[in-house]
Amino acid sequence: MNALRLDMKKIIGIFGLAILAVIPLFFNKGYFLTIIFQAYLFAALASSWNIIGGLGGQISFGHAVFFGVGAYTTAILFHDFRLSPWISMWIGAFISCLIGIVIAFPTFRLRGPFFSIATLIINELVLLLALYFEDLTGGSQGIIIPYQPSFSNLIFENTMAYVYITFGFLLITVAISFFILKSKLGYYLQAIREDQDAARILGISPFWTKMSGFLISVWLTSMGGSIYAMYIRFIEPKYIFSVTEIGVMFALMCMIGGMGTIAGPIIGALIIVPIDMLLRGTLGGTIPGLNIVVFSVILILFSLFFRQGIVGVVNEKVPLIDKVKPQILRKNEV
Amino acid sequence: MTQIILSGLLLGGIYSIVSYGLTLVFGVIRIINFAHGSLLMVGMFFAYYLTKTLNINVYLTLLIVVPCMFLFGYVIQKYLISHVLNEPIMQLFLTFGLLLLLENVALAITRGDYFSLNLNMSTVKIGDAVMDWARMIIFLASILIAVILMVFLHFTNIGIKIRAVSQNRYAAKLIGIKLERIYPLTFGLGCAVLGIASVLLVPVYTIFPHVGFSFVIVAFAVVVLGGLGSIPGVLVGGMIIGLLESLTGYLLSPDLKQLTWYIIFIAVLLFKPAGIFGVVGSEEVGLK
Amino acid sequence: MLKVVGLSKSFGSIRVIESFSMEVGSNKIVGIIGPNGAGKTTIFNMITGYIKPDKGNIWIDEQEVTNQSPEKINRYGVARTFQIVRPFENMTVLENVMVGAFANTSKVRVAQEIAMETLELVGLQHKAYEKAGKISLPERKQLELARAMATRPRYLFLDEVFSGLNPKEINDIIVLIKNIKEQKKISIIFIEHNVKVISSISDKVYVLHHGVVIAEGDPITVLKNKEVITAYLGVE
Repeated sequence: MNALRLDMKKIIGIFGLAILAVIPLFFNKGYFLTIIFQAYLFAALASSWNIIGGLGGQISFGHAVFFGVGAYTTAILFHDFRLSPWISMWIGAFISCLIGIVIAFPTFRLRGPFFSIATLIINELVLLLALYFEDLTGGSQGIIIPYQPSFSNLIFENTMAYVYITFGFLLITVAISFFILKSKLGYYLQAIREDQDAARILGISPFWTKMSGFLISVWLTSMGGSIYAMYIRFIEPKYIFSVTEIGVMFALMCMIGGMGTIAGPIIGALIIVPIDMLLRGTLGGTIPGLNIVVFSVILILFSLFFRQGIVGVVNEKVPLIDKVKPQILRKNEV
Repeated sequence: MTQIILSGLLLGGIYSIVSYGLTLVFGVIRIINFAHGSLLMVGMFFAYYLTKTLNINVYLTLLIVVPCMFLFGYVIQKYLISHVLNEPIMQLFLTFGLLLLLENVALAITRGDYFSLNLNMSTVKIGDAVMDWARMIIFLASILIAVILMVFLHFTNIGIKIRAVSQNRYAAKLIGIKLERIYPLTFGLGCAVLGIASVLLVPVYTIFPHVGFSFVIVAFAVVVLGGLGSIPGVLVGGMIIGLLESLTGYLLSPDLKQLTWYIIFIAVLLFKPAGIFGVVGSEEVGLK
Repeated sequence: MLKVVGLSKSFGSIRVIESFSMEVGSNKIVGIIGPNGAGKTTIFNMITGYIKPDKGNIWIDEQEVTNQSPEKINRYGVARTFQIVRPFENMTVLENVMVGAFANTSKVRVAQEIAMETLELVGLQHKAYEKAGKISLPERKQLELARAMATRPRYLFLDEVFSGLNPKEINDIIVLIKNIKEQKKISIIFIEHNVKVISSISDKVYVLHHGVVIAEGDPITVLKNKEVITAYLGVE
């Protein structure tokens, strides 16, 4: 058994990611690729949200702000200056972080649902401002990004390219999530989630811990928004800053998949996005809102009966997927 | 200018009447009900539907809507919310899920249409300002409801029990008050007040599924400004927000009216989180 | 040396603590006893930074720390447990203690070692992989002790650590505390009701009644004091 140093979980995880890497090749039709693109993008976005939401327990309903800021920064800089999105995504992320810092100051002292309400209200505030400052954002008309395909423009004729770029982005968010989970920051975020006051006398600063997790989450979310802008090439405030259609989806996916886990947000996205697109495609045209009815029922049921999410339920039922004791502790047994 | 102030006060009446339930539920059960605005929307649709199908005066629907809303609230608390009383994160998801559910079921049924009662209700002149009776009724009702609620909470048996629970639920349990009865009753009461509000709002507002969302946001602002759990706070807070909104619309731009809610909410949390009339159990739920 | 001088606190019009002063030398065990409502936990809350005192000062090893936050106070070498235990329920026992261990390192490996060591010290290593929410009350107390110890404090504050335990469990903790004092050479300050426990381990005792110290000194003398006995009428 000494040779088996890797966790069973890691093996399954790598295997899972490998499958996700090849799926697009087997479903090479336009419509499928659209679903896969959205699924992978939201998997990455949900993973980003998970860092502060699932791991840190700070349920932000306002993450669409950062998604939107990333999208708008990239869109505006491309539309007005043809600046490559590969550059502007970093600018957008930086701006999002500045906004994040400003948001953090009044909201971090709030606990639980008050934090969530505050983030929701700030989100609505940003939406209002985006609609008001028409000269900058195009107001409710939105911004249309001209179709000029090239790699440096991050505009492609074939959806497959978007899929793989987004998959790369997903790998990055998974790697960062994994790294954080196993690090001091990860432990500290969880401690704050579990009991902030008990955590403080262990030397943990709630403010700085939350700030670290929050800014990483904000950065990644913003970059996701930049990618999305170049894919959809039309953004307008009511959708891109939407709490109910975007912001709350990140939380919903983590909730279903398993909050605070690595696989949870991905599983949540892989379930929700296809269902969403299916419902929109079939009945959605005739019955508006049906997709969200389904999701809200799922959300309610999970909040009552499956708080640990799918990953949590699986962990309970299948004991073999349990941690193999780390090497350091085996030596004590000898 | 009188018109602006008057409109502001009338608006304040609307915002107050819509917020009593939220502060009551928070003060007693200590939960934040995100679905608050959506429940209002349901009440509005129900009142509208009754008015049209039974062909009666909208105000008469109070007799049906209010008891139904009470029952609806009672059931929601007893069979859904009771499961997550000790889990704040799950409460969040549950009530937000309810918000989404109610809003989108309404959307699915109405297919996105907008509904309004075109009542030509008489107007009244005060000085050189004009206002319509529908809003005046709401204004008066909001004051009346505040008074009735205070009387109820201070002078009736059940009201006193409810207040006891809101002040110290452990002590209340010790003296034999049954939380499993008080909680659904309180939630039902909050919904009943929403029922009154929804009927009174129908002559004034266009009804559509997402209308509840805006109301729950302004309700949050009102309740935080007035002080969580405080009924007089809602009345005063609502008036202040109504006036400020009216002034903002006039002095800045009508598009920026909602900004008032957001700025007040953030400002209160930054400078005086307890609100005007202090907070019930702020540490418990983590306002500090 | 941990020194507290003239600590006072009122909540509204109620004066909860009146001019509390205390000195804790190195490697000493100090007990604070008194009937319920005497204000003992408030003292802990002030010293550990959770409440700001109205008056008074706190020094840890010559450094003034009055009004600092709990996280800073921990850096000065103070750790505490709570009257009602507060484990991180969804994390394992080992992970709980690792959180404490990270106070002195950033490396996961090192934190793991410190945590395991500390668990062995309190005798909870066999439960390392259990979720903290699933262990028994005495085990949770051991866990909270381990978690606090993992921060390598010089002063350990224990708030009614013996409550809810049966005589055998109480004895185990007494042995553990003596062990910790011996091995780690730290000072322990604890709040307690149980007079027998107090007299068996304390080097010095402060008796609190209605927020005021009515007696201080070595346990045997203090417990013979008339005022103390009156205050405790009804308790053994």
